Amino acid sequence: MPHNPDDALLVSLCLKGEAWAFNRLMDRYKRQVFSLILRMVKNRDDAEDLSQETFIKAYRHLSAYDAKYPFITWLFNIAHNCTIDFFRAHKTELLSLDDEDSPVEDECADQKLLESIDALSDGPMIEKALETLPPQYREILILRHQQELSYQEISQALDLPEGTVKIRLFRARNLLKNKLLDMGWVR
Amino acid sequence: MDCHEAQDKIQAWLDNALDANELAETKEHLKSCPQCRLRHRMFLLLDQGLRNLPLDSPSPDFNKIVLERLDMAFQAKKQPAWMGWSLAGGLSLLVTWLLAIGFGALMVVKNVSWHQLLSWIRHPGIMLNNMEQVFLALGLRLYNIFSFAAKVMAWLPTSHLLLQMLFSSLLAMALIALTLHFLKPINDSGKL
Repeated sequence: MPHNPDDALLVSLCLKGEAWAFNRLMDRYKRQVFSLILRMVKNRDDAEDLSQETFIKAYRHLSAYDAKYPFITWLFNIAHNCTIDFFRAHKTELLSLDDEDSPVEDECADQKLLESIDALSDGPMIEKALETLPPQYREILILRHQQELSYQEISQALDLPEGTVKIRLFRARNLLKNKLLDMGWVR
Repeated sequence: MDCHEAQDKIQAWLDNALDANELAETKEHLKSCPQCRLRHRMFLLLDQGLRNLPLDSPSPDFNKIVLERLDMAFQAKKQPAWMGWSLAGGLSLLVTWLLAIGFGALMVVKNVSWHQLLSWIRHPGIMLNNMEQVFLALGLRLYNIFSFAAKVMAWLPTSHLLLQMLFSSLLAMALIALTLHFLKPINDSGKL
């Protein structure tokens, strides 16, 4: 993800109490944060509350932001922690490390169906398949593919080692692919 | 490279995490393995589909709500201690200036001595009465000056309003300067 160079300047202005600078940061990143959280919690009201919470926490801890890293990665980290706290409070089942050790069968359609694969141009199908995945898999797929974060940035955002990021991402992709195949992706 | 190894490489390729050698080996394998070619195509389409997912927007009041919830923090940061001191200092200066102008006008226009001025402080009624006379007299003089300047400018052979206003302002300023130069103290009846 491209690092916006004036984020650090806006952060320093926020620290001096300039409300407009924080407003600017919100305008820049609120949709990304909201979209990620919405895909995690699947409820607009909860996503709205958690996104607000994310920006409030970000503001209160702005002095801890290290300008060497992209601001959005830092925001995603706060959003991730807010969402995990929310899931714990609502006793939503989350992935355990044990789950990640078990392999995902790589189902693959028959070669003769190669030409029948439909481009996933219609959003609803992929949205539907995504919704069936565990929250952490949805999260990592969005961070990698929609937000275009690198392994390193994802590892910062999720507080995970890069190796775990890679494994989780591979599993999430395989699961999503299998779901799509079950849903009739291949005609 | 076998298919099992290629599975990982295909995904790593998608993430731009392969070096040149690995990429060449993976491409070579794909050429000879239709199953892995299919897998690769599926992941490419998956990547494209996820990339094209729309970004959702929060409510239009999102920023306002967050800023309202942070209002206390902004207030505290917006008003550092030096601002309060500056405000108090500024107000004190303003009051001092107003007093100086008031007393100065009394001393110059009504020819009041320091001694008399100090004695009036104990009798604010007399002081205010004298100040009122001074300001009324000065105001009347200013009014006369501006009205004279306006009449002169009305005779100017130009119908351009802005030009007339400019000339009349310059003339009024010149007249005020002249008046101040030859200012005479007013007599006890309050007339200039």
